[in-house]
Amino acid sequence: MTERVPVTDGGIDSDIRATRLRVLLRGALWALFVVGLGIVFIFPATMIVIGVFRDGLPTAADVPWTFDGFVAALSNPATWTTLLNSLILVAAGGTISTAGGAFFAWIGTNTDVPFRRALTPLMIINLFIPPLFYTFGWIMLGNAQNGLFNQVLRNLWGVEGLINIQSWGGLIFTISLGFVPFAYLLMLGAFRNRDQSLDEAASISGAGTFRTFFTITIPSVGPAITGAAILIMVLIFQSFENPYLLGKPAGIDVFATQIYAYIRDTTPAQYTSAFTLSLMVILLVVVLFSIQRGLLRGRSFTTLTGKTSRRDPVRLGAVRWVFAALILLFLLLNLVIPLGAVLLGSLQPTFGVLNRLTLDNYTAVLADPLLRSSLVQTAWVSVVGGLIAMSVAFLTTYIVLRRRGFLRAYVSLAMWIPWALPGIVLSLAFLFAVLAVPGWSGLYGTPLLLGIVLVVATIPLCVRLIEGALAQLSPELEEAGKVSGASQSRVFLTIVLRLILPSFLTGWFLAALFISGNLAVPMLLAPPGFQPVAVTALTLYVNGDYSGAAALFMIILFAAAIVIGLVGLSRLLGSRISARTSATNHAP
Amino acid sequence: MTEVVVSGLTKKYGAKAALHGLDVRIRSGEFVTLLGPSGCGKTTTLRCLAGLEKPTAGIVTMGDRVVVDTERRVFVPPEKRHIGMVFQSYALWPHLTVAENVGYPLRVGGMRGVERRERIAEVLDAVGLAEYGDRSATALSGGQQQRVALARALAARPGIIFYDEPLSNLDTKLRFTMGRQVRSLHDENGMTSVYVTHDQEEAITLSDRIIVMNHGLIEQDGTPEDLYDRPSSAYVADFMGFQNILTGVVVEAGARHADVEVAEGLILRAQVAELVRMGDTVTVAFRASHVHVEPAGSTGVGLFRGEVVHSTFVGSSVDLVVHARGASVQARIERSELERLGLGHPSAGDTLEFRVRASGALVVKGREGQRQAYATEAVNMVA
Repeated sequence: MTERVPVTDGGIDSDIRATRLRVLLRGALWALFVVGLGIVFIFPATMIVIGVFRDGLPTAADVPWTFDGFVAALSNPATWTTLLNSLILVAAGGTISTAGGAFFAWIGTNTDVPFRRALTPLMIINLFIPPLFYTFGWIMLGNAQNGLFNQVLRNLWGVEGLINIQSWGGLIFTISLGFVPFAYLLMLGAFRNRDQSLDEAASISGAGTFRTFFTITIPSVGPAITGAAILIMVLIFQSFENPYLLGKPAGIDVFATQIYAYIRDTTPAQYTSAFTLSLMVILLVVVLFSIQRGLLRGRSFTTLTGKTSRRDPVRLGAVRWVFAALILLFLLLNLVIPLGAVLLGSLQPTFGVLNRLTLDNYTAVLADPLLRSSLVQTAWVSVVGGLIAMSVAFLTTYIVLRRRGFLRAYVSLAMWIPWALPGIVLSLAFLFAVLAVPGWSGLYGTPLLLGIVLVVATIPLCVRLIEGALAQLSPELEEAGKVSGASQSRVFLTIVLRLILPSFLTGWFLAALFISGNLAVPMLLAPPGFQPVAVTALTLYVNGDYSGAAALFMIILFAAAIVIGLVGLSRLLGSRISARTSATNHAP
Repeated sequence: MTEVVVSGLTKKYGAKAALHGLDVRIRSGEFVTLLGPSGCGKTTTLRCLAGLEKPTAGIVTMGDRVVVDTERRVFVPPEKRHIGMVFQSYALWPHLTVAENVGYPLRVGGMRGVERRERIAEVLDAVGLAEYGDRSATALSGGQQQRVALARALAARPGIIFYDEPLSNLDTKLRFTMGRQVRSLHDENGMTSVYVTHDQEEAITLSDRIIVMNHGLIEQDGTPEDLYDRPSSAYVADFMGFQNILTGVVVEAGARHADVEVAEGLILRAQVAELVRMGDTVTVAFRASHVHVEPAGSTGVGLFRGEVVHSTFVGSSVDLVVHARGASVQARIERSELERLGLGHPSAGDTLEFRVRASGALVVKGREGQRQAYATEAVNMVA
């Protein structure tokens, strides 16, 4: 009863032709892909190295090759202050946020602290709010002149400027707090999957809870902790928004802000200095990643035992209430207070006036054609850019997972570049790359270039989000599709994409939000007449219109909340409808 | 129905070859099993046949279509080979229901409407899951999931079905019933089946023919009876459960038998498949159950006196580890045999007369090189 193999008309000759066609087509597609990645990821990065040794824009004629700029940058004491500042910020912020993340991950998964189940949702919500928005919230609260805290203190006790968020303390505080959710989510899996019998063995050996925690629990998730710490340090190295808004007013320059200053705040722009600093950042990031490699080499930690038997959480006794209070404190500090400040600020007719809240700022923003177009443009760039970033991340991660040899190495390298290049350096690299190629200089000052760089800058985040989902996808699921007769592209769409769709959509949403909150890239690349919300809000803020800036942010967050709401609703309806149709279809 | 002809199939990963020029002919409607330990190349062979791996060299013909010919640069991708496959991990798509999983190959093949629904119902019925069509595929038990995978492989009525260790994730009892179902579906549908496993019992009970593989080469190819009774090499003997594999020197050579001295003064008589000469070093293999206890004072060939060093009661028989003249022999003695001789259960320290029956002992090809390593490991595990 079996059906015969459909023999193709021409027999072997047609199969030879078909094979040749497939090989050619595939080769062409791969070549296109390799060249495309090269243009977008690798070529701009080379501009940085070249830029260090050529003084001037690539468009200028007769630019000499010289070490002068390089030497000048290295002999400038500002460079070394910048390095020191960056190292202090990275060390302090990285340590605090990793410790905080590890602490919350531990109480969330291994203990009986009340409210621990709220931790993961809380951290995820936190992650969904771009750092720029938080920083604004904190400025509204802790600004020395007219921050809310200081206003309250002044009214109560007549104290002036007690709190100043625009300082070393404020910078480290907001950076550390801001990265705790990311650290937490990076380490959550390791803490959840670790073999709790290790702790039990320690307890049986006579170690108390705290001794067990420090001698067994923490070392057993060592690689996860160092991995998270290094990733967060890299991200802090690259952060622009906090240092620019909080550090710069206090005279604290880090790499990202100093590079920006060399390009925009000095005339003529000191490109070689900017590139030298960029190269230093990249080298430091490379060093950090190599340290991680070195740490992981030769150590085998089987945190995953395969048996996910749930064991009793560690009983902490009275101290669990202290920990519960810490969770609440974190909720207040990292979500309620800064976001509340933005919300409150957006409702004040003039910043600081608390007794007459109105929606005037919102109507003003929406009525102003410039602000409205800024919102609309940001929405477009974010939604389309997020989709492209997610698609590129999906495709490249998939290739890295499924391919071997040259393609894998090449794609890994290309994908690594946006990891190592902070937004401001990336923008600078693209700026020069576009100017260096005659046919491309038309891209300079267009929304398209801004969009491309925003996409590239968002890719590391997207890769992180899609990696986990793809890694869980067994290759056999795809093979089963091919064996069933489905073509490669059909398998890719109906099986691979379909299965990771939830992660893909979440990633798209998050990528869009992050693009809308990216300040570094548009500050360097936004063309005239095209101002993303981040830059618009900054302009409003610089002009003293805090309330208007706050209203802009709240509109974005409201829009995001509406999207989430719609997704939730459609899911609910979808499951209802499918439940009903399957019920009617199969009624007897 | 599909005949498969493989010639010179070679697969290299970098410089390392996983398959060395394999030649196999699988007749139409045959149930063939590729048997061997992990790393022997059986799965690579299967994946090359299915088109999931591209062979480095060789020709594969399925039915009257050349699907791989590296010389003429032909490679037909898996989706154009009209095959079915059952995976070790079941590989059911979690976003589809049981019926949708089974219907996927049909949908891809362009079958629609009533015809498709009927076909899905038919194959689900064949695997005993008629009631489960609307369930989510991953909500089923392991055995049920594997039956869905089986139904999916059968749905488009391919001429050939490949099985990649499909039962290894199931428990023993389920494995037995599922194995029977696989075989009866093969018999009913009359397709060709190629089955990969490392379990000799599974191979013996299911197959028309077994191909034992070793380091990318075919070690022995024959019916289950052939392999069970007449393994040609120590490697296959070991795999087929010959607990005793000893090396020795031929002291008496006959046309069908040879006497082999496996330890000083310990001479066993064994069947020979190929001619051996006096003084040759050969390997003798026999099962523990081919060792018998003899009354004290017996004489003859294959007889030896040994000391029991270990005795394990295993129900209807007793397993012994016997030391005789420096050689270690495993014996499985039926309790009825002991009763007939008026003996109690032997315990450690007892000395008894044993005989290895010549009909059960075989002179086989020895091991060399890497094979030795695997075999020693296996023997150590048994001992």
